[in-house]
Amino acid sequence: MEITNIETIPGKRITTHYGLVCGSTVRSKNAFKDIGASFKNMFGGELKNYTRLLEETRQEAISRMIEHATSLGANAVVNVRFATSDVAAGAAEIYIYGTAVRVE
Amino acid sequence: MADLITWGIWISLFVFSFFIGTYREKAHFKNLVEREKTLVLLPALTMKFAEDRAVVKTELVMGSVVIGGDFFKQVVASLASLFGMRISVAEAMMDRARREAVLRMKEKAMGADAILNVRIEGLKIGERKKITGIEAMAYGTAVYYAK
Amino acid sequence: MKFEPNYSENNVNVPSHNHFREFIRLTLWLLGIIFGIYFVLGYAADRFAERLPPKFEAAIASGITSRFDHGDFPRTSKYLQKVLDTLVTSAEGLPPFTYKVSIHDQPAVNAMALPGGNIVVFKGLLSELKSENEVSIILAHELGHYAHRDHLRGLGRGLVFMSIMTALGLSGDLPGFIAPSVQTFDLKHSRDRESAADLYAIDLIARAYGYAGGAIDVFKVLARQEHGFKRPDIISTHPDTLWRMQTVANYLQQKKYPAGSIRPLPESGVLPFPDDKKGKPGVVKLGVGPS
Repeated sequence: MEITNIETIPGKRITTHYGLVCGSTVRSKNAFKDIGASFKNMFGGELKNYTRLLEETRQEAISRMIEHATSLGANAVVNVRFATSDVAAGAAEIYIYGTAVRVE
Repeated sequence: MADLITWGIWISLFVFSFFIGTYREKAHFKNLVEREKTLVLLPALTMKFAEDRAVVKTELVMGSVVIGGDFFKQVVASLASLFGMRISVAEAMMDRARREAVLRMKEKAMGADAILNVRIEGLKIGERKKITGIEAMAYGTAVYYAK
Repeated sequence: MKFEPNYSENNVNVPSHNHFREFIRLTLWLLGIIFGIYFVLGYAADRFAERLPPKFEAAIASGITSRFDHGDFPRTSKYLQKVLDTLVTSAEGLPPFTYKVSIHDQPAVNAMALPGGNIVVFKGLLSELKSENEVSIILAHELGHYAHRDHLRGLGRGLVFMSIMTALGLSGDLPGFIAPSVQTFDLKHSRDRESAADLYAIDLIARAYGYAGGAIDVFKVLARQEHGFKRPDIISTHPDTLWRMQTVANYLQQKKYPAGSIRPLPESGVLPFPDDKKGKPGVVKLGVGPS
């Protein structure tokens, strides 16, 4: 599955398009791990837990979008956009959407 | 005794909102699937160009919706936020909101051939701790091809 | 590029619609964690309470005792103090406090042992007492709490409970059901302490007076109060009164304490002493710690 955030997949020709596909995940932080993060907050620096959490979440959203695209018969998703919103306290939604296409 | 009353109110509210919330969610999903099927011929695309045909008319269309959370969902979401995991109640809410927004956008563009360059936004409405409501908004350019 | 309309009914973004199962799983996890922390810290608080030096305790006591305004019953107080002093001289294993008793002008049938040796007896309970034997049982019961350091345990456990709740940010709106369930569990602990204090009281008055009559009568007072409003055993901080009477009766038989005579109350035979209205009975309780 090829995914791009430009209009096309360079070097390939889009033959068919299937419309909008999307994947979303809502994940929350871990309150117990968060105690560690609040200590780090005093001194700054990367919050590795959070970086990893968001990375995993994005990955999951992407794989959901891929699943959606595959079920429509597509083999690529072009012009992909990420959107993130907070749903509840300490929880973030990762939303990814794009156009499912078939390329040759 | 006062504890018992508070407890009782809490539990009945919880159970009540669970049943009503589940019923409404199921109904909404069913409704979404039906409407999506009827509108499947109108594609929404994130691309700027789709087909090499002359365009006679373009129009900005948008659709938005606010989906409210119920007491049960709030409790489950705040429980889940302790453990750092997926919050499936919120996922279902977001999914409903986004699909509804896209559908409303499509319904505004009845008769068009495609909606191009679609963007979808999400927004939380309410206080910090609660899921009062979730707004989803979709917008794009509806194009009408020359016949 | 042509368009191919396909539709997939499989919803990839909402894998499960069974929110209730998720709720149950989360609740069980949370309860497990809270109980775990509570057990460990509660145990630590108990151990700590047993070792807390009395001087330090007296220092923190003033903050708590000031919450109870001392009713104006100087003569009754003096009488209660006399009974208490008699008990204290023959008591064993008490921390070295100056034990004081004060009367709280509230209709509740209650008495409590506050840190630093301050016993508070509610007016509602006093007005139910018919003899000196009963007065001394009540006071001896509270002394029992001091001997077992229960008054501090109550504080320690309460503190642990509050800290867990605050740490998890649960003190607010969210799981209103979790606090009661942990508390319910803790009440079992509290009931065991009450029973231990009962037996201590019997031993104490038997040593102080040479007989243990009137012990059962106190519980009859409590049973009368409970009539018409009996809380289920599991949510009460104190053991079911009938069960307590039974335990005390068995203990009396086992120890073979003589029943002895009933010592009447001085003056008009009512507490608190004259021209006091009899308060309405409240929740039946005879306990430790602020309630």
